Amino acid sequence: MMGFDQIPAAFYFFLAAIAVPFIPAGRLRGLLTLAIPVLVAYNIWQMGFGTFATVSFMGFDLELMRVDSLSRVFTLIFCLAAFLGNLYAWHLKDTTQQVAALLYAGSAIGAALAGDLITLFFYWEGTAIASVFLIWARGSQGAYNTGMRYLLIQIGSGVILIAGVALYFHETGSITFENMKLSSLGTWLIFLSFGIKAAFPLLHNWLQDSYPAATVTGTVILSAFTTKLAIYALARGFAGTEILIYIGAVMTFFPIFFAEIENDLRKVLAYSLNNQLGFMVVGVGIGTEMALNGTAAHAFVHILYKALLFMTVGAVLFRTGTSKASELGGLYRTMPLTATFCLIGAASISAFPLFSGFIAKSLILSEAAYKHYDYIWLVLVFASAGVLSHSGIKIPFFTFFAHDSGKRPAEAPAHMLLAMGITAVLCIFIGVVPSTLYSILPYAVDYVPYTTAHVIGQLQLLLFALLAFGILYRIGMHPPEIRATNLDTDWLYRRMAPSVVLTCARGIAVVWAYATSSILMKLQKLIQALYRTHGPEGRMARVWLTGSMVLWLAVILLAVLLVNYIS
Amino acid sequence: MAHHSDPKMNSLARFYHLTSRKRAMTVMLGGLTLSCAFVFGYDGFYQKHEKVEIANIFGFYAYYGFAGFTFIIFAALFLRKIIKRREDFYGDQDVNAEEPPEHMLERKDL
Repeated sequence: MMGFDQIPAAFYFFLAAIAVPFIPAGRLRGLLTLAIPVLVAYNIWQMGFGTFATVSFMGFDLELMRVDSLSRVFTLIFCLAAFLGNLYAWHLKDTTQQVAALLYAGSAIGAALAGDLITLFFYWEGTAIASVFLIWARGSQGAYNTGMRYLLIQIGSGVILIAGVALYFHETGSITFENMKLSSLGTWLIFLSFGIKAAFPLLHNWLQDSYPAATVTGTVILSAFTTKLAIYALARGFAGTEILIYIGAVMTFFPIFFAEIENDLRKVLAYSLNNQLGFMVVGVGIGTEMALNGTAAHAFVHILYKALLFMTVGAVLFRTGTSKASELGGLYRTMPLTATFCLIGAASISAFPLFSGFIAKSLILSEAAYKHYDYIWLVLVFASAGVLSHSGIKIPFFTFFAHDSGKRPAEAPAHMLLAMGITAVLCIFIGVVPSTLYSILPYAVDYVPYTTAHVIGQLQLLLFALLAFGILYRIGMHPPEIRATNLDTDWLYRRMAPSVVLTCARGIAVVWAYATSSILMKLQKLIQALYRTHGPEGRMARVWLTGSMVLWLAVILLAVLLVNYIS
Repeated sequence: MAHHSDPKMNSLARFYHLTSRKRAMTVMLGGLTLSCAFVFGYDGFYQKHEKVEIANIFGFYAYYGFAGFTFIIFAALFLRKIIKRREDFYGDQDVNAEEPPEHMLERKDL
């Protein structure tokens, strides 16, 4: 009989996705969506390390399930995120979204467990195709347009990946997904493919474009998988690649400013997500055991607190119909529990002591300092203050406090509160008892987060940043929340590229018209000239007299004789 | 008093409502300033062994946090001047300009 370890974990999600349309919308269907992640997480936890479920495909030995210390931690957090996301979406009757969520989570888990690059590619594309339905489920023309842009970029990432894999196989004869060096076109393409999904600078804007366009529950699901899968892929394939340190540092830095002036709070969180990914990318770039532990730990806690923040903003959108900061404020009056969970998420992402961000992010910062990346460390500390500004303060303050918007929405539904409550408890629990998380990290952890220097230093950073906020807000220097669109790199392909193409098309049309008219004119002249000579009135059409023909023959004969005589 | 005026608020909401009192901002800023003074002064009570040399300066994180946050705000204000456009810049068939569809919401006012 086939044991669990012979059935790829992703297949359980896929089977559930097939079953969902045949189960009436309601509790039974909801329970199935909750049971699958729990079942898979339990079995992965029970399973020892090793490679399972190997199949032959077109002459390749595919490893559908490789469980080791790195893939296990990502699989577990993906299962937890799927459970929490599906609990949050308990009220849904939309079969499309439920199927998409299961396929998406399953694909992400399948990719995290892939032992070879071809398997990775299939699941990689699976995440792209499944997730776009969470955007399209919004059902508006805007969401359709956004979904198409998202799909093009995500599928493009997969195409680049398979091109890179083909070249890599040609060079090395191997498809094993293991650490690679950036020494050939193949590995550069694979790196670029991972970079697109990890939202590297200038490749990032699909994230801010698409996540706020998804449904209330869809955004929560989206926030967990794609980007963290890319982080996993980088950790697996390019750990210790130094360029990642600088890429990551830029990622932590630039989204802060965009987030600060963004009005849509789900887009603020998308920028914040970008910033948090930067910390993880730096950890991968440093590449030591401690740094990779930091990346895995940060990915784990980040999935939780970012999901929590997306859940709270989603609950506000669900009840009020808007997630624009300019339209919100004072919602603590009727949504105090959601406000509390938002504050917990904000404290976690800001890395206050006793919250999860504190014990995870510091692993990366400590290693950056230890490895003497002093300037990078300074950027990361600066970015930590930036996290406080947009996610720690802006999200809870302008949603639930600040001015009274006059809105009195009901508290979030019970299942949403339960999902937020569990996530919030986990954020605190991990922060208070870090050993629980440290024990499942890829390598043994020799790090004590709660030292006097660390706690006081972090409190100094955060409290003084808060003080700066208080003063600036009091004197009216804090950016007001206003309805606007802020340009980002999506402007390049949404406005500039179409206008460049249009301008080029017009230019080509003008040149073509000129060229064709010029050629036509010359052709016309040629035809007229030919007509003059060969037409019915032309010289060549004349009937020659016999006399003149004899004359011409005599002339030619004379010429031949002369030539013959001279030569 | 204002914080007792809304019967829809439960006890947790009434606790949060303390922040809307007239002097709440001043009190909170005062409390924050005291907390800042405490953690700043605490730097004198332990030996720093930071790997990055500059972090060993007394109160380094305090200066950095305050200056960093202030820089972010002013830089963001400047950035807004450059990149801000009207909400329907990308047309009315853009998510940013459209109202969220009602089918994905469950609006409920108290």
